[in-house]
Amino acid sequence: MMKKSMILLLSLFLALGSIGCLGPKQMDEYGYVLSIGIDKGKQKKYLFSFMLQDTTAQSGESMDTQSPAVILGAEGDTIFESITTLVAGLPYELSLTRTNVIIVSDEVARKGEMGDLLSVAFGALYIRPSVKMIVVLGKAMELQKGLQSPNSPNLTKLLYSVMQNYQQEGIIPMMNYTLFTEAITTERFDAAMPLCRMDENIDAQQKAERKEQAGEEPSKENAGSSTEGIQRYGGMSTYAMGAALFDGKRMAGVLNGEETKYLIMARGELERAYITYSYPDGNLLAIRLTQWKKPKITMETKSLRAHVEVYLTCDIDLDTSGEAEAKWEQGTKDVLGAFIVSRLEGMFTLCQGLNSDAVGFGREASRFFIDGAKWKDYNWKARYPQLQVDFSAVLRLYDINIGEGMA
Amino acid sequence: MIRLLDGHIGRQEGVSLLGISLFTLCAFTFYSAIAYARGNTTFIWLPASILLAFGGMATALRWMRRYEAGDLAALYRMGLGKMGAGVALLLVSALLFSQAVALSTGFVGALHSYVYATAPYGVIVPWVIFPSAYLAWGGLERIARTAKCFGAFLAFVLLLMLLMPGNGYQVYRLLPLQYGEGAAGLALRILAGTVKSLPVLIFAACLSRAMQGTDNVRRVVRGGAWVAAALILLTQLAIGLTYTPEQLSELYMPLFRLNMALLKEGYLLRLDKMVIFIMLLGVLIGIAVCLYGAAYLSCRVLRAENIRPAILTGAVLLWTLCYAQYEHVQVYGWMAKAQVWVDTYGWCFLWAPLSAACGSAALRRRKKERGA
Repeated sequence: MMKKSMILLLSLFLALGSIGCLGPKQMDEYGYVLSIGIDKGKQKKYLFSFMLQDTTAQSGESMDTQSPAVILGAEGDTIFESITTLVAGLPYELSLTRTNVIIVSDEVARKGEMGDLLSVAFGALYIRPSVKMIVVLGKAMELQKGLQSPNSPNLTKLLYSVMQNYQQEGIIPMMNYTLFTEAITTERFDAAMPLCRMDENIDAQQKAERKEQAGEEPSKENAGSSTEGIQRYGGMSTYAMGAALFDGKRMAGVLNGEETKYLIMARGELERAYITYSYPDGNLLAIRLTQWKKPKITMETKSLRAHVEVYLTCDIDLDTSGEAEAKWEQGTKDVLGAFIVSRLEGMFTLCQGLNSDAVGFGREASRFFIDGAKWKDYNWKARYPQLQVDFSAVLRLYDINIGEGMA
Repeated sequence: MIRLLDGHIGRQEGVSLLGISLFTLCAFTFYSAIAYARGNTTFIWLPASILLAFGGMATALRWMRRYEAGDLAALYRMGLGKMGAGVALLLVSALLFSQAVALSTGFVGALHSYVYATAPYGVIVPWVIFPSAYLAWGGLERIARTAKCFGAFLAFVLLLMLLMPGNGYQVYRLLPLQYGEGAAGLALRILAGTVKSLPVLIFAACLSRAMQGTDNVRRVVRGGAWVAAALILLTQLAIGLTYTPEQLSELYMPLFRLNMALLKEGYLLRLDKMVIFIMLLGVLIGIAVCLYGAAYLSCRVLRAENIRPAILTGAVLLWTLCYAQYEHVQVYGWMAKAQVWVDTYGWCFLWAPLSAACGSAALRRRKKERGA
């Protein structure tokens, strides 16, 4: 009896295994969206664009990071409306489960509609909440097109570059959807998102190169734009540098790459960055900075004063005076410390002017409250413009022998 | 001869069985919208509720020893009489079954949300119910030995899962701690939270024969409760350090979303779906414990000759309820309300008979001693 019932149970259990075979789907029956772009629409409220990895172009082959990309787009008042319009003309189903990044145009971000727009879509579309968020100065669709150069055909490259810039140069912040919702729901800090732009000169250069290769006379066209005011040659036309600062849900302004470095430093997220300092006599000092300890933030919620102390290890990579290391304790350290503090103050003044608590002083202030109702009554965002912050920097010289800083 | 399939289990098996079932019941059966509505205090009240239930049970076990009751069912009989004990144990049985329903429906929802988003719920339900029913069908020994096999492994995976997103933990997210609830509200949450752990502990205290004596029961209950409380504390602390209450009240099973706040993701962190399946092992054991426990207690009260029909009936009912909850909107609403009601008031049906049984047994004993 026991054996019979076990065999019956087991066979029923095994039969369940065939359930998955009843509605099988091939890989190329799905269009996997890698990025979503959100622009302002003409007929409808928004223009949603989707960058897909083109699985149909190489069916039968393994899909790798070099797969070509396809960009689709349709206008809609919501992302659902846009998808409905799109799928009407697609031979496959759109899957958003692999979406890596959401690119929002500054026009949409400045209207403050991002939070509402995305919160509706996420649960229903199965987008991972860890998806990265980027603001583009210009059109999100154009940015996605800019990623389609033959040498770097997909978005993985851009994300890699963004991450590298964040980790190695400190010129952009990072933001994902989870942290963005935390910023807008709790109001304990404001979001700072990576800022992407297009350097149209790169396109012009590539066109000229192609003409030259084809034996034609290359035209001397110059599209007028550059990479944050500096002429760049080669690479992708899209680039990530600087931060889009938010005041709640609304994008309030931007920081350039240099200012962003100090924002990331104040937040304690800087892994490595280079700074160049010019002595009054014209000599240059290039230093590699690393943060050896998280900044110490002390705060007084009643008098609205805060003190931020950053801890940096300095590795002198270039010193045209030839005396910086020798004179480190005699003056270089103080001069450099004062320079970093002035930059931190400048960055904070910009953030405060935009009413954006991108550094996250609200997080520190909230630690003083056990009861959430009292924290809400305190109304941090209304008090933030009156906050006075002092910065200080503790610098130590990198010691090549022990690999550690030397005070 | 009543065939309850309780057999004999050792201390390690008992601790694993209780640890896994208490942890899964406390981690995967409550509604985020309710648990986090008044702040981020789950890391206080959930472990505290397990320890409170353990405290109550330890007292009952001491009284069992003092009054020479063979097990908790005997203490109930001593204190409440045959009829009263029967009603009290049937209530525990019903609450155990309700926890089995909450655990299976909760985890089916998690599997659907995080893995099989396009599959119908009805297809996922048997994958959870069948293996649990199979474990329960084999009796207590099978469940306990399976629990012992996977206990340490599950604890290791859980700790690894909590350590990996460590970069994203921020202490400020724990504060403000609560939104206008106060100490009384927190105390009520602790008391109400015992509905998750006390039924399993009462069931364990009725297993003196299987656990080879009351002393062993006491050790097993103590070990299981402390292990579960420690793991729940770490889990809820990790969740609280990752998300604010505002976010948590909208998140389904936040334990599986710990890596979503991280800015730097790696391949290792994208293996969160695999963790769901590893945790599924624990959930299957948890459901099996509740299913077997409900059948065991009802069979003892009703003096049924064989436990298997009761287990089978429970499994079929569980399957039907799970299926109905997700495939019929009206049933979903009704069952969700029922679960909230049990989570809010269920503790009364556990603590009242337990205290009455202990108190009454003490009075009767004293009267008897005076008479003698």
